[in-house]
Amino acid sequence: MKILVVEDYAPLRKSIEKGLREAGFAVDATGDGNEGLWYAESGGYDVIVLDLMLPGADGLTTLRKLRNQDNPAYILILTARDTLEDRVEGLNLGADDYLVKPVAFEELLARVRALIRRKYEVSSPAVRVGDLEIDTTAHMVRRAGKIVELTAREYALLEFLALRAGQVVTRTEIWDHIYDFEAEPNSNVIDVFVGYLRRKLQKRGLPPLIHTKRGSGYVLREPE
Amino acid sequence: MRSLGRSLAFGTILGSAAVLLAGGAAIYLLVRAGLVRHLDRGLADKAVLISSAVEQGSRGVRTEFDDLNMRGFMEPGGPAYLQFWLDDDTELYRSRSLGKGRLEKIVPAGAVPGYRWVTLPSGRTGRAVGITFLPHVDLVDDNDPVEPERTDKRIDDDDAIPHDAHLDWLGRPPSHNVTMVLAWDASSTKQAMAVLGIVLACVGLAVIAVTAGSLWVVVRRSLRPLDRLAARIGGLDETDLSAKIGDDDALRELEPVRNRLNDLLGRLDGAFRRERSFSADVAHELRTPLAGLRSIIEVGLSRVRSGEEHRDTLEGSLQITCQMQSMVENLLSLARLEAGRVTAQKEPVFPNELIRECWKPLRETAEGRGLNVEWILGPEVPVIADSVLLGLVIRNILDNAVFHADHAGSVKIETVAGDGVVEIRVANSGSTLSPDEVEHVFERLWRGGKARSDTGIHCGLGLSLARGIVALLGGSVTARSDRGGIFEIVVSIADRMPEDEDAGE
Repeated sequence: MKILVVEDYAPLRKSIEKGLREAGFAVDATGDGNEGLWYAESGGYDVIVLDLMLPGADGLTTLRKLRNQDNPAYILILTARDTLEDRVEGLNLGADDYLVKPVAFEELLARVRALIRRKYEVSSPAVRVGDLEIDTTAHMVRRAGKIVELTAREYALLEFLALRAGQVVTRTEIWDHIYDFEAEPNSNVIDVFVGYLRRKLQKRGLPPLIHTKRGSGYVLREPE
Repeated sequence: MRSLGRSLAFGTILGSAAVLLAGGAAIYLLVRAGLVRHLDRGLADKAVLISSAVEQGSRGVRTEFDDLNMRGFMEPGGPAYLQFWLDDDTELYRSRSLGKGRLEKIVPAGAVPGYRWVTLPSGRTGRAVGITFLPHVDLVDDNDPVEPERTDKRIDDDDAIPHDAHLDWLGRPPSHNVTMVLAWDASSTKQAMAVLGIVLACVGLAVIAVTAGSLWVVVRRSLRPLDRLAARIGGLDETDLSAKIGDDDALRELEPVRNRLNDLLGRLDGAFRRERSFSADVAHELRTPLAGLRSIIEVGLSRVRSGEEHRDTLEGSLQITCQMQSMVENLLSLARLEAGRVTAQKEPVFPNELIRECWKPLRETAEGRGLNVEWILGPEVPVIADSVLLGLVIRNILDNAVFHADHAGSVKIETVAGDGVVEIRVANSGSTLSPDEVEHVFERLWRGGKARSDTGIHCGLGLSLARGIVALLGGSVTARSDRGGIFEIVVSIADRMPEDEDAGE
């Protein structure tokens, strides 16, 4: 899952970025409103953590523009402004959540995860596809009751496929949602990771879960 | 408490009452004088006419009233009364109307008849005229001898002055001056004057009453907008000063008051707004580094990390803590300054030395940012200032320049002495401020463009603090930004005490 952090205070921005990355998200971060808008428009973010008082374009302007463009990202406002009017205005302009600084990082993380569940219309943090169980909070994956050890990237890829189980997911979509700007673009890196994931999930002769749709992408579904 | 309405009404009524009183009195006196003059003239004419009926015959003075048989003189109660005296106060004649009564003798002074108000025997008021004349002589027709008998009691139709044979050698009797008093009942005139007086008084009172009533109504109605204005002012809510006092009354006299009040409200509203936004900004400025601190520590603690990683976390935290401390200290200084609790210990201060001192902690940062620092320090002229406070000003200005200069840009530090002041000029390149924005640099917590992106030391307090201190030191500070991206702050401080100029050297 990919997150954009738009926060002008560098120490806060860096620590949030670090914390989210360590929690398995692909993260892009910027301290400028205009740059944040540009990042957001380039697409692929599941959640945008947005400060309101920003140099360049301020947070509410950014929010209004993104909503006018029907940007699919869920937006979490993280600000020092705490009045009722500010919260109401932020939410009325299309924000999906509102947090007042200072906030416990755990809460920010939990809210980002909740927004992702809402975005993929999953109500439970535990996602099941056949005999595959994914605990999106603890990042635990089990197949047929046995724990499957995955790297952060592999987990992110699996989670994205699982959240859209039954649907064809294109390589571009995977790229957009799993990789941030720091990742080196590579044409077959996704295929390589899908290969790793398949091997780990199909141990002991279990039926395949990830199917290749030639020319379009991949689909995760229960074996027939 | 004085009432505008009451004093207006009272003054107007008093004034109009005085005018009415004077006017009424004038009318009364004029009419009265006219009436009396008319009365007197009539009396005088009658007196002259009657006097012609008194003759000096050969046997004395006689009257011919029996011929005249004048009405009004014959019945008791008048209205006309007549009495004659000779020079020696001998009573010559009394009209029958007098009955047993007498008239007071009026001896006129000279040729002018004497007039007087008298009480008639009937008890009524009368007007009397007294004239003295020499009866004309008529000896020829004196063919009706009368026994020489003084008529000092009843006077009959054929009364006559006793002939006492005082004929002179030509056979003429000596001339006798006769004093005649003619009195006429004037009670109707008196009554008319009384009626006039009453009518005038009544009209006057009525006019005053009507004036007072209408004044009361007009004054009250005219002052009603004042009450409404007071009600509006009373209804103002201190939480919303943006509401203006309406002008639906459109009373011209109240327009300036309302305008001044609205101006005052506008200024107050602005001040309150700034105060509110200042509090919000301070909260933001403090919350943001706090949020950063908390986030850094929480993320640092979220998993097992190496010693080096923890060191990074602690260094980041320390940096934020120092920034917050600096900000809180600046805020406190500013609050003390604005509360007037800072006093300057004025003494000679050497600006060049102070600038070099203040530069030391910034040198490393400037080198780190690759700044080209240009020093143009003039001759060292001591200024009259507080070294601690001026040091704070210089540190803030230098810090501002180093922070806002573009990477590898330039900073110019200059002192110019002359004309009684020393100017400290600090300029930096890389400014993106427009001339409009330059005016805001001294506002608390105002940050332009790039400065907005950082919090802590550069939260927009330094320059407002500098301005406050320079004002306290009696100097001035200005800022300008040119198109070439050069931003310059100029601080001017006097190099002598103001009173030294008068005292001389």
